[in-house]
Amino acid sequence: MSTSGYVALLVSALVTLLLRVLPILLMSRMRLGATARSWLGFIPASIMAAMVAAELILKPEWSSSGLSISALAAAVATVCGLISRSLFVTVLAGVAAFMGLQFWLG
Amino acid sequence: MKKNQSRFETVFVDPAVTPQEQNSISNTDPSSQPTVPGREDGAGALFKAGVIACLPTILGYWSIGFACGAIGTVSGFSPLEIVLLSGLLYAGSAQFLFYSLYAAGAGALSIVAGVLLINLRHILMSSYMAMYFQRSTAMQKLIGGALLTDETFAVAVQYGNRHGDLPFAWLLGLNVTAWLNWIVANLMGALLAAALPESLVHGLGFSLVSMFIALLLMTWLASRQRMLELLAVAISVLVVAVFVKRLEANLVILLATVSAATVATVVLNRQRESRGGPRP
Repeated sequence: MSTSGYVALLVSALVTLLLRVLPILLMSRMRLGATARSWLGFIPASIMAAMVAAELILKPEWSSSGLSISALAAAVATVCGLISRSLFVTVLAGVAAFMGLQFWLG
Repeated sequence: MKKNQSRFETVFVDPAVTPQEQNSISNTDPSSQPTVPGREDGAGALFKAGVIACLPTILGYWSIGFACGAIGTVSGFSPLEIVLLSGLLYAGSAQFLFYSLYAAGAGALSIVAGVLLINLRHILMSSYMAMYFQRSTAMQKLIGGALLTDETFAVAVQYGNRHGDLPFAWLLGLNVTAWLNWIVANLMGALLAAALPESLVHGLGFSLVSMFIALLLMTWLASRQRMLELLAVAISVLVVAVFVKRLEANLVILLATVSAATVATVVLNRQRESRGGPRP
């Protein structure tokens, strides 16, 4: 990497650090009202749902017959997750379904 | 700790969680221990529990880290540079972006701008986490925030929801395990880039999506207001579906999150008002 590459790396790392640390540093001193706390309480589910949706829409994996392999595998993972209530089982089921569907339908 | 708990009780403590649900996440419940979390011998046990809580996400870190390191090598980066990137930047999507932009000859400014954009969502995560750092030292806030990732955030959210508290030793165990695994996975990917079958890397890539589905489900199952959470999820997905191909993806994720949380909060406030005062 060139000098400018290292500069880009260090500044990128610093920017990322600030994004992660500043809200904790600033907001941990505040006493938030009930509405603000409720709002923040909905952030985890909303942000994870948005990331899953964006991944599925932007990187679809199509079978030869036009089915979305990634959406099917996501559905399998969801069902397995609801039944098992286990992170590990859900992740393994999703990956296994994705690879299996890719093999059989791809 | 008791004082800290009561402060967030209305939103963050879920009294309806069954013992079975609690066991599925962690076998160590700090509230059952006499020692104060983060002090004396309790800290060691909490750290260990944090390490254990990280284990379900390891497959995700390894598959993505592996692929990320391999792409670094393919893009012409040395193993040392790849380790530096994964240790300092510590963000999969930002590293992918860094490699591709740098290899394409982009300047430092556009690389930094891209990394900023792709990591903007961490502001919302960090804001949420701030709740649990009210009595922490500045150093704990710095370390706790510095190692925040999508995965550690989601795992920590579950712990916080269940216990109403996020002991620093537990968070440190989770964070350090995730961080070290990420660096090692990147290095292994960098070294084994040529030997990996492409289809395997591609298939493992889906573990990222599976993991977020899993983390979302666990968060939802532990929630005390599942209908409203479901509403938030539906709005978030809808906003992404409508805008993700028209705007920059990371901005759409922010937009979706903010609108979903806002609508859910408005509905919640209306429910509270119609019931006349605080919930039972």
